[in-house]
Amino acid sequence: MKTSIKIIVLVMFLLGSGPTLFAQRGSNSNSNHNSNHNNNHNCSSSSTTKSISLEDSSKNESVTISVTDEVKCLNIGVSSNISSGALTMEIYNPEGDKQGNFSVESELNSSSSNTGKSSETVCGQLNKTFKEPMKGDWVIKLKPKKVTGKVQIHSHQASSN
Amino acid sequence: MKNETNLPYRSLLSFGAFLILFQLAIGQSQGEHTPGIRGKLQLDSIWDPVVYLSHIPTLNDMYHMSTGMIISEASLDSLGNFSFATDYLSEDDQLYRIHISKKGAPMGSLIIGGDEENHMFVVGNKYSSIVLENIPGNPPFTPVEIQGYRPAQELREVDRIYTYVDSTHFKGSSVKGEFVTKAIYEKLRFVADTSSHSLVSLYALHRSKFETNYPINKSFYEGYLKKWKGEKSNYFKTFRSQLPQESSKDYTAYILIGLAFFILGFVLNHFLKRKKKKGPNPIQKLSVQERKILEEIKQGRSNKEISETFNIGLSTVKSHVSSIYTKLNIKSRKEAMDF
Repeated sequence: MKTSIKIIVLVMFLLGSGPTLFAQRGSNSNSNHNSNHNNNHNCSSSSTTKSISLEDSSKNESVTISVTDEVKCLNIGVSSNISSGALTMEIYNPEGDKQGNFSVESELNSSSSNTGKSSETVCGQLNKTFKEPMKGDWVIKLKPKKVTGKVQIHSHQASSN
Repeated sequence: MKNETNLPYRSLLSFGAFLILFQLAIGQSQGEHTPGIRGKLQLDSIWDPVVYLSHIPTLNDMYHMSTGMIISEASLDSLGNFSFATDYLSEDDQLYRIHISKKGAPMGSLIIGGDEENHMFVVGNKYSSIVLENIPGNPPFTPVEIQGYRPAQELREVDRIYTYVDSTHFKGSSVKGEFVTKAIYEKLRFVADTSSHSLVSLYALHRSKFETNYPINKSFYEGYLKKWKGEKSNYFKTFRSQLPQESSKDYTAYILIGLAFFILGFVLNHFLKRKKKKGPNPIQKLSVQERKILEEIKQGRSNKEISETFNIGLSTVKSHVSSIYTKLNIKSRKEAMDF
């Protein structure tokens, strides 16, 4: 008798609370869906990639990435692959503060490569992500010294409209 | 009775077990204190199972990569164990970088930031024993535990604090991120201030963006330089050269420039005076008679008195006086008296 009462109470509880639970779950699901929906509508992103080939180059170069108020996240990736010379890379925010740097140097110079000595490749790569980045021009400076190689600069900006 | 006969065997067994455990303990203890850099790295399949050790000559070279910096390499065994002998290292503590490369990439590969950051820094010398072990995952060196040489552990702690700088860029608002970043830099300066190990201390300060902090916190850096005045390592020499010159030295420069100008002015003045002196004396242009008459004029005598003195005519005196005025470029008797 007692067992049947317990079962009846349990069934009543489930019947009573079931719609609420379902409604709750449905609400969460909608919320997530709306959130994604909003994201799809209000957020945009853009990516740029710039490749630079250097041939025994000593000419400094700057690459500017313009960041607007709407940008919520900025990702900068710089990778370099050099077979001779020395390369320095620096990232500056719009206020001129250095945000990252690296330098790579190949011990074999061009002349030794010409003499048949095997070339020596050196790689440098930097990835930086900035949440709500400073508005303005972010500058990537490349300072090569007799560099032969390739540099690739990738930037990704995610913004909300 | 049976138990009694087994007693010696049990004792022997216990003693043997004790000996084995003791030997193991001693062996492990010796292993921990044997000089070298060793450890266990569990890597993803994208990584080449080779570890490289590079010497970092100054803190500005932390993110410099060239194969000339690599001083040793060690292969990982199937369990990820590796070992570098360190008997060729300096007796003084130096900074070293341990890095790995991706399969197919050159050994001189440096990846900074992101999930594939491929390096970590250690401080040590030829006598230090450093044991490190990572937790599988990416970045491979972020969850690394170091045992053994105490300064190497302290350096790892500095890196652990510094890691938060990058992570604040991912979490929370920019205002919160800025606030947290400032707090992290402050914490690093605190470590720099309190660490008893010069290189660890400088490493922490280097991580704290001292270039931007120096102008607003000069007294701290003056005190810091004073504290490590005796440090002659390249790390400290480079650091000192990066700080703005002392203000007293600026004044010295100004004083030297001022002194140079003073000497130049003095020499110029002296030269001009001499030149002036060397110029033709107008009195030399006068004839003997005119000089005598000029002397008389200076005595305040009139033309008539002069004519009587020299027994010459008045008109002759007037002619001489006129000639004197012309040659001396004067216009009156008074000017002639003052000449």
